[in-house]
Amino acid sequence: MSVVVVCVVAGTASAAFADTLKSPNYQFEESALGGNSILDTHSPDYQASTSAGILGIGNSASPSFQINAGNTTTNDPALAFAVNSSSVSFGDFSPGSTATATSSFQVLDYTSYGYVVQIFGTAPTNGAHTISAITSATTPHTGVEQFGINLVANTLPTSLGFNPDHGQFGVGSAYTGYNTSNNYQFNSGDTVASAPKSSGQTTYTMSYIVDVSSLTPGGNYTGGQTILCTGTY
Amino acid sequence: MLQKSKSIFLVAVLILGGLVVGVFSSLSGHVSAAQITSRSLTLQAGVSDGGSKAGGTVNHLFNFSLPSGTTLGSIQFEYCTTAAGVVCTTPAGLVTTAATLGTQSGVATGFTLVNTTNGTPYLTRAANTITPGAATYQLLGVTNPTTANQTFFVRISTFASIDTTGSATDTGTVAAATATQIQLTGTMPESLVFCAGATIITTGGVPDCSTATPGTILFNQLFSPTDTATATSQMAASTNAGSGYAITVNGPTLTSGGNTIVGMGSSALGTRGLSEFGVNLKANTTLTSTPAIGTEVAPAANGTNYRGQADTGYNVADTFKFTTADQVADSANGGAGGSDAQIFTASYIVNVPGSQPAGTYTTTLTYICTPTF
Repeated sequence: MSVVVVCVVAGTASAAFADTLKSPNYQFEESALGGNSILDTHSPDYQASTSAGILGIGNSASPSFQINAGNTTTNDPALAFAVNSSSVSFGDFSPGSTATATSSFQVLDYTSYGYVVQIFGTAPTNGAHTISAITSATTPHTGVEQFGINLVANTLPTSLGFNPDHGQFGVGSAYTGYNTSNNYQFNSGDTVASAPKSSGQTTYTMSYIVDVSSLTPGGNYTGGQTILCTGTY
Repeated sequence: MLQKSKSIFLVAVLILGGLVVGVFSSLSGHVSAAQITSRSLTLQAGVSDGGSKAGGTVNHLFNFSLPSGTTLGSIQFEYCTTAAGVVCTTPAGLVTTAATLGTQSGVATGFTLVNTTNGTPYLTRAANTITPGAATYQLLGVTNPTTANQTFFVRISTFASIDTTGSATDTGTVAAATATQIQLTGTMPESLVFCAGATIITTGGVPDCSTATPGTILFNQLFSPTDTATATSQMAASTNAGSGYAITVNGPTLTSGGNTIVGMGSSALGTRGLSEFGVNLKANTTLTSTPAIGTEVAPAANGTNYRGQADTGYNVADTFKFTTADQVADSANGGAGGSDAQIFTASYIVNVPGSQPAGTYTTTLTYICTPTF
């Protein structure tokens, strides 16, 4: 079996996720360049995960070593990271109900030893008053000031968010503290998602909750959030 | 003939040998640069910008392992829009010429930063042999590419020379990406609940303004030089104003035509036989009247979610005062701030002298609660 490094879009200069190449009867799930793409292609009546000549495909990894099996490729890193929302609005807060919102981001990272996604920022703030962040994952409580996020599908306080969408080749997952349904927390600098090895496109949905008390000072609350993805190659 | 054949053979051998040497030299030149491993670029937050903010002035932290135990004099960081290729196009907006060297650690230290060429800063030091291993370098004050959600690459190369000349010893490329910043917004509606009436009761333990009773408040007895007439009213207040509320009492003293009862200009005990009209917000004793009138603010202030309290001049039992526009209460217990609902009871006293003209004395008092958000 030949063992070479996986084929990726080595020339990807922009991390923007291009629209899926497709026609009414056929589409590419993840576009790739090269003589023999390892990426999945399919139509309603046809599916091919590999092209001609490939004896092995896929990633095998241990804590200190990994191989990507496939056809002719490059060992240049490829990272695509996109945050899909620039603003997240909760509307009006109320002591009697939990305010919710979602945003999403996507990660694709090849020829790597994985990636980590961290979140930096502040809870919503109005002047000198900041909504208290939940430092240890817990369920939402109305009437108690708290701000938290997670990256999984929830049923509390309502149907909110989605589990990570791995597409065809994604392997990333929400990180501890942010991976339990209906439990939320927020600590600036925390790792919120990670992948232990090369990963196809994974779409993460971040679910936000805000609870306020009757004494939460009135006014407009804002908070800046920075999402950072770091790959190791 | 034989000699000529030997000569041709020798020439052929030399040519072939030259080709072999040439090919070997070419190959050895191609493969001499070893792969830098375990490499990453972390975009760290700057003074005010998030690490991945497009166009943000941030810090770039490089971590990697150097595989070659050879002489090291310089390390170049070449920022490109592509991971590989002969041409390196500097990402739009990237600025490295203002960068400074932050932390450095690992198998090779003692560097200074040369940032004169935008997009290709390098570290330099006196050339010295290293042992293979991990190293970390932090570039402070790098301006990220200005396009959000853009991947960019940094080609890392080490050199024996101190100025990145010559062939690279080790190479490796890292990828990083700017990202759209997320702005969270939400609105906490400003709230104030305030009411006044003869009485206010609680519903489920919470003061309920819908229960406030309207109408005229009558004193408990006819005014007399020998006894103090009393009356009470109540008010309730709550707010989420960040700086809390203040309540003032507004209106004239008791009047009957052109006759008045004197408002108490300073806080004092009531004195029978004098003309005086006063108010306080306390639970008074029989020192003032029998039965005693008034109650303390309820629930009592605790400095956290109940901050309402009577103010100076109106906050001592059995002493009374009345000056229009005076502040009689606020939500500053434990510091000015919002407060859950509390009920204040205003106690009124009237004393009159024997010469007080007969008549019906009335006044309309207006309590104004002003929150500061």
